[in-house]
Amino acid sequence: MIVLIVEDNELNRDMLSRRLMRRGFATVLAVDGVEALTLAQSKQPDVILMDLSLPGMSGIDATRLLRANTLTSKIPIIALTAHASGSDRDDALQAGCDDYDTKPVDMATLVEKLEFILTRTGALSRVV
Amino acid sequence: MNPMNTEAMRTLRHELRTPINHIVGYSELMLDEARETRADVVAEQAGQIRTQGRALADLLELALSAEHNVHAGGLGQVRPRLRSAIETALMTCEPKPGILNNRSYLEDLGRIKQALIRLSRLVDTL
Repeated sequence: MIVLIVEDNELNRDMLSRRLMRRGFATVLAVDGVEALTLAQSKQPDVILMDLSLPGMSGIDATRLLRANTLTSKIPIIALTAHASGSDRDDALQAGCDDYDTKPVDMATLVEKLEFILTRTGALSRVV
Repeated sequence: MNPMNTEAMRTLRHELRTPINHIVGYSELMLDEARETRADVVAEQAGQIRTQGRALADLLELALSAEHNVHAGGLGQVRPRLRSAIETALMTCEPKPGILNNRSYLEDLGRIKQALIRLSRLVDTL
C-alpha cells in the first residue's frame, strides 16, 4: 500500500513516513501541492495524506485539482492540519477530502482511518 | 500582550503546535523502535519525553485560552510553568551513556531538543 505524504515541514514528513513504514506502508513524499499533483499521477498512491497548510498552493486547492483530474480523482485523501477548528474540517471535506485528522497525529487513529479507507477501496484486500 | 484577533491566534497556535508535534511524534517513534529492540533505557527515556511533550501541549492550550480569558490569570501565570516544563524536558533529552554509538537515537534526540529550543523561543515572544 502506497501512501503519498504531502507535507512541507521536513521533520513532520520524516516522522510520519518512518512511523507509517514501521506499520507496513510504503511512502512517497511531496513537499508542496505542485509536487503532490505530479506524484499522484505518476505513482498512483492508494491514499494521500494532505497537509492543508502548504506554502503556495494550499492543500485545499491541491485537493480540488486532484479531484478534477481523471487520473487522480478516485484516490482517497485524508486532510491533516494543526488547526482543529470545524471550518477547516468543513473546507477539507467540501474540497473533496474523504476524512480529516489533526496534528499531532495519533498513529493508532490514523492507521484505523487508513485501513478503513483502504478496505473500502479494495486496496487492503489486494495485499492481504 | 493584547488580546489577539482570530487569525493571529490561529497562526500562533500553528507555530506552537509544530514543535509540540515534533516532540511527541519523535518520542513515540523512539518508543516504538526501543520496544521492538528491547532497549529498555531508551524506551524509558522516550516515554518520559512523550509524557512531558503531552504536558507541554496541555500547558500551551491553557496559555492560549488564558489569552482570551482574563479570569484564567492571563499568560503571565502560565509562562513560567511553560519555561520550567521546557527546561525539564531538555534535561530529559540528554543522551544516555552507553548508547552514544546509536546514530538514529542521537539524531532523534537532537531533533526533539531543537524542537524544545524553538518552542522556548516562541514562548518568550508570547
